[in-house]
Amino acid sequence: MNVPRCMPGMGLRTTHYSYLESRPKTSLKWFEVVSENYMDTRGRPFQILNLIREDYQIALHGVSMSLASAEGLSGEYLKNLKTLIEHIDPFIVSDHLCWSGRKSHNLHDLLPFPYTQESLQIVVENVLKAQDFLKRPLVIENVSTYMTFETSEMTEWEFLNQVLERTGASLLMDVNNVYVSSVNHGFSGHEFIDTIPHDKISQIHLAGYTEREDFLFDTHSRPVHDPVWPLFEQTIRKNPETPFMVEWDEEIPEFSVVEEEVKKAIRIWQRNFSKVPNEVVL
Amino acid sequence: MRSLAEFQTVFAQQVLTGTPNTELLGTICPAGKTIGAAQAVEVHREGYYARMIEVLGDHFESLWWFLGDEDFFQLCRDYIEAHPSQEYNLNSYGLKMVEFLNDREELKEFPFLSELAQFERAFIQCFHLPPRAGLKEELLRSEEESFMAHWKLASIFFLDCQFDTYALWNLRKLEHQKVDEIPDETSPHFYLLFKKENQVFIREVDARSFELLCQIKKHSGPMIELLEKWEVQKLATPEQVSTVFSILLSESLVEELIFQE
Repeated sequence: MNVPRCMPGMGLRTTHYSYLESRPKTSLKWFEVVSENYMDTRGRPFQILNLIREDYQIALHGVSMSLASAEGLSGEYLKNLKTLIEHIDPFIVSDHLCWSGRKSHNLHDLLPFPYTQESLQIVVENVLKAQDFLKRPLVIENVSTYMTFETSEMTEWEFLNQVLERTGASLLMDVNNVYVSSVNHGFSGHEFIDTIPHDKISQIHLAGYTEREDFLFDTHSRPVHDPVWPLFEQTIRKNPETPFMVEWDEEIPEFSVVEEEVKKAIRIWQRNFSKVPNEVVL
Repeated sequence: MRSLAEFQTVFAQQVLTGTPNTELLGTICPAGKTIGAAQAVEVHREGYYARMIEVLGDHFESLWWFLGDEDFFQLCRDYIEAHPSQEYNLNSYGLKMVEFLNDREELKEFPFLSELAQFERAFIQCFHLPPRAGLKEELLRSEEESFMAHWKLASIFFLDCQFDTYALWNLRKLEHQKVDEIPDETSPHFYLLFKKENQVFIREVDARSFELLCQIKKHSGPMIELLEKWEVQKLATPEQVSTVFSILLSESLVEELIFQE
């Protein structure tokens, strides 16, 4: 029987550039980078990305494709993303199930929308257009939300499954977002994860949230919270080779602290798939 | 809300203006049990301003230093309202700050701010340029031959300032109480910002060198044409020309010699 590959990763952040320039030994197999931070620069960020690419696989993770935009996708954005893809040769290209503003006012946010048949049609068209242009399947992330809409005609996971089925895209399962939204809107995170076919999950995100008043806010400013780990375990058990990673975007600590969160995930992976590949360094 | 397009228009409007839209709010089921629909939208409104102010803070560090938190944040909010982002790329946000500052009457006590903003924008643009080596000095030393070529220069930001902007910009890293004097007297200063290898360099030059370098940058024919023009029209002394070439060589600012057929 083949031993499954453990695929730990981390979100690359500028605060860790200097440390990574020394090419330290890490527990990681890959880094995820925010696509937009590298699309229009050939300066230091791009040079560091090229350096890291020599040792690691790279996933490109966008925040501005605006897949749920009723105005359609930006041709310029897709063109510049494609140029970056051709240069970096990433193993994953992802973005979010959301819209990020209007053409006249980019809000640079991951915004919610009602899950209706009309929205589904728009998202499917946008995903197909992006995939057709980029010549590769997209990986789509579920987002944290702070509201739902009475006009929604289906649940988030029903909507996601429809998108995945109609487009051939797969899911970036952000288990922190699943947890945040499940608490905010009172559904079961485990049920959400259960509904997604195992072969439709291409990546897992882990992060920390912040408690605000009586709802949870997705800040990526903390270690992964305890209730999120069971959701990770449930997801990774569906497919042990799914690349998983920790993202930390605010109050970013030193590299070793973020890496320790990745190591926690590796230990969960080991607990489930006993035999550890030698190359995973703990 | 009849369509997704209409929903997005109304939602974005409420995020931007904070003005409640009753129809939109009527469709929202907010997170948790205690916050209302308007507060749920406010989460995105707060996030929008916080994000854009953070970007402007990164881009205009020295404006922030001079204005202090309260005035800088207010300036940012006003800028964000006047110039909403239309780009996916936040690196380019703040391009209109120079003009925006010029129109602000209350900032007249800091007459150097718009030059400082221009300086900071140029620095960021320069930072994102690719690393650059430039031609080796030896290639330019055989003067007669190289003068028959067009000298294609590197990307250089030419800043013609009325204040000692570089000195003002350098203050941003200091604690306010450690600064005895702000060098805010008017006096002409001429700066070149350019990239060499991986670093952004700032070089102050004299007025004549600045002018001649600008002319070389704009000139599209062989270098000999410019040299002859300078000589005939008495635009530059041999010493001034020598100074300019010295700058070009020492900073590796010549990227390519293009010989016309």
